[in-house]
Amino acid sequence: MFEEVKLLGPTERSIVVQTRRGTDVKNLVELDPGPRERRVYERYLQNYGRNWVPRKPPMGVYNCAGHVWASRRTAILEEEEWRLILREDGYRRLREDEEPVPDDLAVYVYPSRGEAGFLHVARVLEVRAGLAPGSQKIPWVVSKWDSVSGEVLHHVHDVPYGRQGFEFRVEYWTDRPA
Amino acid sequence: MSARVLQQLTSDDFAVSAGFLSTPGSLRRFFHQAKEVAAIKEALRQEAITDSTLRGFVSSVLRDLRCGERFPHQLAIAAIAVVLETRATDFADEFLHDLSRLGLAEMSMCIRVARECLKHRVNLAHNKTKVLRLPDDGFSRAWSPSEPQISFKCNAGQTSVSRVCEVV
Repeated sequence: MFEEVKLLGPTERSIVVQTRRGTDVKNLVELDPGPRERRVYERYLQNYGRNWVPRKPPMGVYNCAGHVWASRRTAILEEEEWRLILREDGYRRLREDEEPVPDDLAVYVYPSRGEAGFLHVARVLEVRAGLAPGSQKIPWVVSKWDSVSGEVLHHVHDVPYGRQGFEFRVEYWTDRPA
Repeated sequence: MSARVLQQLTSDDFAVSAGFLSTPGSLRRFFHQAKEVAAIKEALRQEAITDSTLRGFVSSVLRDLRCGERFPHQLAIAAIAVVLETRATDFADEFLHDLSRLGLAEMSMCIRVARECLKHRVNLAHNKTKVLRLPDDGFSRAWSPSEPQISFKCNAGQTSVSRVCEVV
């Protein structure tokens, strides 16, 4: 199987990314989206993103994890690498009584046997007042959904995962001291 | 039916529904719940399609692979990997191992989904060993879903006999 594909040889390219402790982080500089992926992304925006604010059109190179942890230079695809970064870069999960502030991270997690799985990570851009007086403030985040999507600004809970059939929760993580 | 259940994997509707998940683990999870994947598993179970049909489908979509461009049917290949994760055939083994060993930027996501499937396939083999009692010949058979072999052990308790044979 894939005999002809093997003839292309390895074409993946990565760059040096390390945690604060110096552990290498596996990564992949992704190719740009083709016409089909751009077309599908337009439909994705129509389906899920009526209230999203576009920041950037579809492009390759990085995914959400590459956006927040590798300065938009590469994609970090494997969930083990996300766990490594959270552990070795001094992140901690916010307590229930703590509010996120700009530049904290919103991590979208789905339940799984063993360790929870990661769906997405986004950077908190600002925390806006809620709709009603005295209601809870709402974080707005910047997201690059995957390695070929565009970037958008959106309300932290305005994500497609529920409609895609996922049970998920949002965790806030920060590198601020406790 | 055979063509339809596979061809829907290449549709824009399918791509939008599976759209833009960031990790191979979450994409694998999505496909395990997807009705399109369930339909293919059912078609295989009913023998409306076979491993040979899958092989032909994969070969046909791979004609669209171009060096230096993202492969447009990655989701279809990734979905097939999820279909084959729990299928105990030589083709499933060959497909998952060969795909997971590739290092192509053009197919980055489906390669990693195949690696995820292999991880879980190994776990499945370890976790879901079944013992089938065969009273007429006094042997029990241990079977694991991703291991195309059956080992026999004697039930008598005095003499332990082990042998391995291939599943037909």
